[in-house]
Amino acid sequence: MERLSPPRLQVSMVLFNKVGQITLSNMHSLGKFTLFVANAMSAIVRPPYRPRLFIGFLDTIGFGSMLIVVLTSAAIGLVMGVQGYIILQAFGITYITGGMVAVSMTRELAPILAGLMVTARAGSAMAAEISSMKVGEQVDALRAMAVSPYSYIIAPRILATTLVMPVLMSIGLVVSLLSSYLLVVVILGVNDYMYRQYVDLLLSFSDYVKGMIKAAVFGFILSSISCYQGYYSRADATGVGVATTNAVIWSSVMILLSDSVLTLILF
Amino acid sequence: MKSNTPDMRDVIVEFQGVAKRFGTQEVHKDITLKIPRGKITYIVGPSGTGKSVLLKEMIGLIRPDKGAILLDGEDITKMSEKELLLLRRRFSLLFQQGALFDFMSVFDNVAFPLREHTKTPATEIKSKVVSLLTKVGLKHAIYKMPGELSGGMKKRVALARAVILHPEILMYDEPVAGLDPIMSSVIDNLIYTTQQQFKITTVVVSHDIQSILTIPDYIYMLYKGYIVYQGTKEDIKTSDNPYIVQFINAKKDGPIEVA
Repeated sequence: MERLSPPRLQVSMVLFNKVGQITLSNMHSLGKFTLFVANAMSAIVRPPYRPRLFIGFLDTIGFGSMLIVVLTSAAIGLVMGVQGYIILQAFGITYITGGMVAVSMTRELAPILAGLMVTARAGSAMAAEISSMKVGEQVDALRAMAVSPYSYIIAPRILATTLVMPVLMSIGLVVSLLSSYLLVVVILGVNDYMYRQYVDLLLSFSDYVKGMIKAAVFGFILSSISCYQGYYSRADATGVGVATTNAVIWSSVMILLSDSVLTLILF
Repeated sequence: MKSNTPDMRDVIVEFQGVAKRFGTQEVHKDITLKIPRGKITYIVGPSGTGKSVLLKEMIGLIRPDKGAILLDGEDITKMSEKELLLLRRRFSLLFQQGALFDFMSVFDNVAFPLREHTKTPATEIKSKVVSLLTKVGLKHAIYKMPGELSGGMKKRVALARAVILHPEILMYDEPVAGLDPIMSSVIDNLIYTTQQQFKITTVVVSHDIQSILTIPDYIYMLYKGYIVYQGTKEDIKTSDNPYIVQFINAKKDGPIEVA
């Protein structure tokens, strides 16, 4: 076997070292995140329960994100309608547009859109709020006052986001279907009865349930990641910015990756 | 033994050979000290010597790398986070910047410990909170948010929050840092009268000379990871310990290096 010359050996060792360091660092982060989620889940199921905080977060995350979900869903519904119409017009079956939009939105786009919009609005806010609390020693103050930060800060946010996401997804879905109907039937003139027939034919209640499951999973993912980024951020102004950015990036990536996995499992 | 020296046989907290490092920076190398029960103990030293870290170690917010921290004989460094949460009900820590919850009003901040740890009815909570805020001169600010308060006001609110449950051990992290002399005197007076009224074991981290020479029953000086002086405020006046002499007299020359 040819032996590596010293300079090549050095370069190889540096590369191996680097790969090893990156792997270890990522494994460490993954382990830390897993423990974080485990502690959060434990805080969700064990007392003390914090109904006031939970309802407050339902309001800020749910109602607070509703407008952005509605607006983006209306836009996507229009786009899906017009694109579907254009493609199906070539085959003379534009009446299927409704069914196509309904299935696409219910199974995929409504949950993903809700997930990404809530990430942008509420996920970033969660990361920023918790990170700011770290800067002001408020997290340490909670621990010093014998109050678990998981119980007070993390669990209510994760639970509220997980439960409110299917609701937001449903509202977004209805708005997108209405906007698509408005464009395709009212404006473009597709037969109303045929449009609705194919929605009925192609879309099942189980599609809706599976879409809601996806939405709940996305809610859990984005809130866990956002809270984690805030909780483990550096306790300074830079840390707040990094936490917010990382929360949005990682939540978005994990929503899209998990969607692939969930689609394979559910459909 | 001097007559003013507290009884060191009645010790509530004891550090035994505690060491702590953050990355390459060794903050504590071998800390050994005793906090006497029911007295005011000051931990002094130049900035950046790990005084605040010592307070956080005492309450289990930071775990030392070596050594033991005994609370009534029990080593808290071996406790789980769940056990520490229970233990912390005996403590109260007043953070350097107050650490008020900025999403709650002054009233809610002070009421927080009562709501979390007791079943006190709302009317009684209101009465206790108003009474405490009146004592610290902030009744008029009861429904303000922390963002609307000055530094001195924040510290007084934090003090009210810290004492509302009558803790066994009350710790202050630089209570007069950044305050004007009059407000510093007000805070010092509150620390003293609170301790006298409730006989709380009080630990204060400070580098305010005026406070050091008037308030404490016992003083430890921390420098470069070690305790370099211990004694009473009366001992300081006649001490020839070069560290405490340089520190108290604010001299540039001496064993304490200016960073």
